[in-house]
Amino acid sequence: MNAQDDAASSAREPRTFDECFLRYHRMVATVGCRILGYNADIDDFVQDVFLEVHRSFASLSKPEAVGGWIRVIAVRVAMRRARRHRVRMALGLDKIFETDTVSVDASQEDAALLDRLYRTLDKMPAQSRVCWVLRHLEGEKIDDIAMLTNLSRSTVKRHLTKATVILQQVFDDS
Amino acid sequence: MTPELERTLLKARTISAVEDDSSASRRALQRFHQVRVVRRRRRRLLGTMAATGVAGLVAFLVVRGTGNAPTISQPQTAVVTAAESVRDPGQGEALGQKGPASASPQLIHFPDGSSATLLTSRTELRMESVSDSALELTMASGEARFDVAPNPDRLFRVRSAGLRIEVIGTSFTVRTDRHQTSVSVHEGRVAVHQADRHNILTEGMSLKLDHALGPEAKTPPSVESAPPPTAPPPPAEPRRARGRRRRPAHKAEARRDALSPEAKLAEIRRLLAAADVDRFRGEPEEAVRKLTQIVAQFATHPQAVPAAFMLGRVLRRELDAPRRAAEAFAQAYSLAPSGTLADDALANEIECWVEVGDQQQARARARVYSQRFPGGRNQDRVRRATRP
Repeated sequence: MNAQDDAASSAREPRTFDECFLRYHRMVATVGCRILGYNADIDDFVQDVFLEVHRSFASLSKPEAVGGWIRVIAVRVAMRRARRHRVRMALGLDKIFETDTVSVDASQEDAALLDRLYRTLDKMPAQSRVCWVLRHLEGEKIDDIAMLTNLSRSTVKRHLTKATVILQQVFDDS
Repeated sequence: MTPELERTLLKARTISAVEDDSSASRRALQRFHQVRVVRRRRRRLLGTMAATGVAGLVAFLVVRGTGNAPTISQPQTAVVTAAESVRDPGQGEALGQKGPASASPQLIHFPDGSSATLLTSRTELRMESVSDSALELTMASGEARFDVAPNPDRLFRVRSAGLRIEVIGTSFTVRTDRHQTSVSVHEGRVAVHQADRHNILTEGMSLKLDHALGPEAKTPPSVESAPPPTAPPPPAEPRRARGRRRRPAHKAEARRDALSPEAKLAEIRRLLAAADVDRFRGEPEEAVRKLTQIVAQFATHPQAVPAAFMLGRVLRRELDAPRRAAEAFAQAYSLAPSGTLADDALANEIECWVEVGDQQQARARARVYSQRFPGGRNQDRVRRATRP
């Protein structure tokens, strides 16, 4: 594909898997970074998400909804990884978050703030973490968060309250 | 929301991980397709190994009708699939490659998740029958370690030199030659029968049978034990009592069996949380007791795997008990040999055997690691630990 093809395909809904990947892989990577942290293996995460997309792509009944469908897959894969990360942290197999300031476009001071944010998110249950990131970093509404995470509305609200209380305590104490 | 948190959110929202660059996107797409091909090849390879097992079994059954019983050569890591029962003892399918050409331990996987590691090239192991309710093997010579997946509905039986060894979820080693047969239990519980003599071996116990005394010897096989069992062994159940209907041996087991899945999970979580508190208080022995309880009482629950793993870590790092730690890690591995913790559990086990000074066991398990996890994340660590 060349630049002209890129421009043409971006003007309409993607028809092929490759077009889907080119259109949405940045969105998937951003969701992954925001939920899992900027030192997570985001390339691996994007691979996992698009492998799931690839498996079911042929049977997609509404091509116009492909963007939303990919987003759902990305959030659920991120939630699984966040859960696994917590188990591995508890067993000492994974380290708690540390910002890689070389790869993140941030000043030292901003990196320290992000560090504190993601260290705190690392200590939360995975579902609370995901709900909070979707609400406050991705700007999703509660109903959309419920759909993305396959949780009930009341459960999402409960997780948001829990996460907000923890974060406010951490940032209040500083 | 505090000003600092708001500022943090603003910064987090403005940062994106991937640059908006079409050439970078096309490179990412190319990488995706490369990885997809590699993963598809890996899946096909596993499928081929399983199919090889089935094809070999079919060939054996066809040839058996003509009176020939060939020894089927299996690859070094073999997957045995379910097949119809073979009726004649000693005429079962031979497992593993025999002879001097086979230089390294071979790992045999069974359909129920159990495995056997043939530790010497002289090991002769035959599969007599495999079904949903029983898996029966005969071992004529050599040494093999068996890691049996916990399953109360399935009997795992190994026959060797007049001994019948029956297990429901455990890890043990059988060694047999012309002079002697021995059984050593690493974790779990094993019943060993010889004629009308019955022994129950638990973790740390071993049994030796001297062949010179003959099968009718009045002297029973010698049983050595480390710690005595804490509870009386259950009586041997009659054959017809096995299967889906379980008869608990004592009240605690009956209470546990009566718990709903939710109640079991709640109990496990309570014990895990209590173990964490014990560790933070500087009481690792108490934590070990609770983690051991989870693994012993809820062996078939998925949470038993991380509990066994944590048990290994506490024993190793906080109590400096590498042998017990090795056994705990081995159990974490055997409970879920394909799980997320399997790689790390086996690597930790290997390091613990090195700390104990059992280089032979460490190297045997390192060979298992290399076969199970080629290019695994702990490959360098295992190599460093077992360097001569």
